[in-house]
Amino acid sequence: MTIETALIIGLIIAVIWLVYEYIQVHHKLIQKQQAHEKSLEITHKKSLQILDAARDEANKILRQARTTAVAHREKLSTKMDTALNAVAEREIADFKKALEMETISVEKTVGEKVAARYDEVRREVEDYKAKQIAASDQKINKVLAGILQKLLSKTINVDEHQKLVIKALEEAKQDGLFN
Amino acid sequence: MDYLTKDQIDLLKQEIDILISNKYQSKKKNTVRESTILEFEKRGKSLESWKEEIENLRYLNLSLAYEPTRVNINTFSAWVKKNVGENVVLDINVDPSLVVGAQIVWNGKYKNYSKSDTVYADIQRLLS
Repeated sequence: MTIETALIIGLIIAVIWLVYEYIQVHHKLIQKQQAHEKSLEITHKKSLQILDAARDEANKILRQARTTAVAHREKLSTKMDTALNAVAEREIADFKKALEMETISVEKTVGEKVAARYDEVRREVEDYKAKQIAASDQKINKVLAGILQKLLSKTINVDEHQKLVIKALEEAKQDGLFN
Repeated sequence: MDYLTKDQIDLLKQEIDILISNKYQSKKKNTVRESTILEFEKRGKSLESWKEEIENLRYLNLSLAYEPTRVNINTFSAWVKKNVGENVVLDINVDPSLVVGAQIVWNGKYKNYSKSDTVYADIQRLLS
């Protein structure tokens, strides 16, 4: 075996060793990469789990909050309704009372006015009636007096009338009517 | 002699006016009128003079309680002509409510010499 052969053999051995070493390093790198990827995957999964859990929790809280809010709102609404109803009832009662008092007052006033007006009208009617009767009596008296006067003038004879007319003319003369 | 009253004088005046207006119409159509005109003129005055005399008359208004007879009218007229004036004529009205006496209106002045007021008052007193 020559030196050359030995060198070649040594070179071959060195190359093989180098390949072996490369393969070893490569293998380690792959393993490390795989481990890293696995770690990343686990981390990702965990993150997702955490996020899911957080979301679920958030949803749960939100639902609870909504439920509570609805309940609270209903409760508040009920309370407000009750309070408002109470206020309204009180106001209505007060108004009704005031209205009743006002109505009674108005009725009383109107009643008094109607009674006063009735009395006034009754007096007016009585006055009118009395005046009408008096006027009627006056008219009757006037007519009667006229008839009696005319009848009286007929009961006097013509000669007597003539004497009294001449007497009237004489009186007129004495009074200076013809001057 | 009968004295005329205002109503009669008014009629006479109307008649004279008609006669004056017809005086100058043909005699054929106005024989009656002609004779009347002559009657008037026989009394010594023309129609125009009569009309003027009537227009100068004065009237004494005499309200009586009764319808006077012709004798009464003549008596009153004679008294008036003697005591008031020759040209005064009676304007007679009848109002029975005067009872007796007369109401006289002369020259715008009024006097009541009837018993209307006193009798009326007495009757009213009796009725009330």
